Amino acid sequence: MNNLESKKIAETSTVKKFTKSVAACIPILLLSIVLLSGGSSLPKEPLMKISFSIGYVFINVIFFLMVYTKKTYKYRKIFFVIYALLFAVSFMTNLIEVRGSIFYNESTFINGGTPFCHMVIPMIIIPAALTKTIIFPGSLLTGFASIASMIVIWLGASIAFGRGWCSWACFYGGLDEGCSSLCKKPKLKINRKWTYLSFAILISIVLLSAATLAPVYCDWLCPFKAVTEAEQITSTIVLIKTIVFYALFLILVIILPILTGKRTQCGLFCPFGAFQSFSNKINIFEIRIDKNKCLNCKKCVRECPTYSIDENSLANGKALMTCTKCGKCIDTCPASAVSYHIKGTKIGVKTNLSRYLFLYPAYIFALTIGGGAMIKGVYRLLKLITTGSFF
Amino acid sequence: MFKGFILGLSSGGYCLASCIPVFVPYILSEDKKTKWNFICLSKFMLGRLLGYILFALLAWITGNFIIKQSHYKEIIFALSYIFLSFTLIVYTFSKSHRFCNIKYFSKFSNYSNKEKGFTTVVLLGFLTGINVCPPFILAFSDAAFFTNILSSIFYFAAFFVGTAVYFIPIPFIGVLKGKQIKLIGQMCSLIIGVFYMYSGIMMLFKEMMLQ
Amino acid sequence: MIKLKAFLGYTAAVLSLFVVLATFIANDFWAKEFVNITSLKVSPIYTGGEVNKTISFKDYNIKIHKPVFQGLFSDRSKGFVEIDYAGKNIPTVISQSIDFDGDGKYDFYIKYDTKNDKSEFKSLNRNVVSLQGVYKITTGYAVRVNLKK
Repeated sequence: MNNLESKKIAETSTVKKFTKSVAACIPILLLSIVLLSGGSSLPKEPLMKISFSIGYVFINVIFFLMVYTKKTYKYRKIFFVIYALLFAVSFMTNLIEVRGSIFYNESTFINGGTPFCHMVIPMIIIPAALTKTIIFPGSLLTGFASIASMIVIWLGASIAFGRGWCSWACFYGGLDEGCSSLCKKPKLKINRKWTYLSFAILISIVLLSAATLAPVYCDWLCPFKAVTEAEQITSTIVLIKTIVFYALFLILVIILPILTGKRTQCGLFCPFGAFQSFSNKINIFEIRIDKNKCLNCKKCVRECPTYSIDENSLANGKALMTCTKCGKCIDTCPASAVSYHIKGTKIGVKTNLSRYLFLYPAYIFALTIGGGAMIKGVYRLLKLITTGSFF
Repeated sequence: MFKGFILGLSSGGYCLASCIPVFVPYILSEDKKTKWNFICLSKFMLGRLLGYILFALLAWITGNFIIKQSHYKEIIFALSYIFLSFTLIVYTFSKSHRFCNIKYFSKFSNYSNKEKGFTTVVLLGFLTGINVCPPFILAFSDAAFFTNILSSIFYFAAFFVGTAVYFIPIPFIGVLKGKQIKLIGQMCSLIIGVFYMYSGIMMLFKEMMLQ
Repeated sequence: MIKLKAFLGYTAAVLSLFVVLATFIANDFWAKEFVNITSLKVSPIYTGGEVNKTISFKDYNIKIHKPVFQGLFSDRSKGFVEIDYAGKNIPTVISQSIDFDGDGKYDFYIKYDTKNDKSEFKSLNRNVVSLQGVYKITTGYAVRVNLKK
């Protein structure tokens, strides 16, 4: 076969690959318009139109690249980091617009104006079961991020992809993922035993929240108060709490990820992540390692950002229950031995199909929960650039 | 006595809610079988009973002064929280000094494991028992009508047995076993210890400011 | 058996897509169903509890809530009662004696200057401990008073 013929064959296969990828993107192209617009007509305001278009193009380009290059992690990470940053912008500006401030106080609680955050879910279960009430100062059905709607979203995610929430839906995860990407060579190694800290925090906050009937994690330990809303500093206690929040954010979300190259907040501290790990036991998707292909280089063990593969689990051909299905191990494996796997099916067989069957629900979830926030975030930034104000 | 038992049954849930954050992490970090956990529970309950009896004695001797004077009551609660947190924190480090690399802790806790285990769990029970709850106060109001102290003590013992029923399921946590569970239990003890330390200090601070 | 497992696995995987779509498209419906099935409410610690009595005046009304002593298994010894001042023309200085338990005797006296955010409080009942705070809410002002049993 001469050079010209082999060139032609290569071109044809590239065209075929491109066409296949575009075809695979069609469902996302169509669904994203419906889901991002919320089923209503497209925005009329010019700036909002531009933001919507930017968001729409970005979301679909990312998915296309994921499909075309067969690299999940790299492009999911770009989406996730930008989502987290724009979420912070849109959330805080929305609070200022609606409430006048990102700070809350007792008035906010009595008004039922606090948006419900998924982190609260483990803490409300025991009190809800015993007192039939939800220990959170939000609105049950009305307003932005109402309690019932967020619980339904969480339930849907848990059934669809388990702890994949932490890599595909969580509005905070992109922050420490972004910082961990800044680490070219790890300068600090953390003992794996610290991964149990998140479970210890989970049990502690569940027990203490039940005993005190207050969401203890939100009151004391949430690092993301730094990028969402925080209590108005009117006393020494609140000042101490604020220092704790900012210190935790600085250490767990910025400094440690940069030093270790790992998602330290998500992997070592977040109690919701620990709670969500149990949903991996019932979820149909998992990460499996084909031992016939595996070279035992342990690259997946080193690369996993949430410490979810260790030598024992590698020997068993699977990730631990804390796996967030981010796809990094799949992309970095030199032997393509790691893949998304559907429980009940053969390992290492039809991996492409399993990947698509995971990718569609995960990405649709991500674009729906994240797309709106991204578009609003872009809108606010464009407004700032064009008018000098977010509003 | 029967009335005391019924009162304990009706209000034991409250006692369970306040004791669970202390006892569950302890059970998890001991990493023992369910049968052993029942023995642990009985030691914990013994501590609670001692706490109740001590408070009852104090209140009876001072002519109900301690219970009526909320200021002194709050100071006792605050101090018990602080001692409780101290016990939890020391227990955590004494169990895991290797992991935390705090070698000198072994010098302080240099007596047999059996004795240490007995003291710790009884102390935990005692310190949670001192945190007097509304059902206890109700029981005390009833018991105050007895003319002799022995009758009061029997009444409290019956009340205590009524509340103890709720604790029976807890030792079954022993089905969760393993090094990881033990480690998680130790970390829990530390976190809850820090929380109680803060609560105790804040309560004490508040009472001192009020005074 | 293996084929059946694989079939079920792939079916569940496909269904997860529909779960995701149903989660968002029918979110309102599922949220209402969730509340109907579970009968959950927001804790009275935050909402102030049920309204017990409403006293109407010309331009505003006073809503007296039921005392809240919510505990995990049983009532706590400490709680609060909330009084809402709601309406378009709430007086600049609120000055009122309140009977929240309906026994015909006033339980506390509150005087609050809405302009200067200054308050005066007097307990007239041994179970009324102190003023927790006066908070600006969307409908007016909420006064919370600490109680004990």
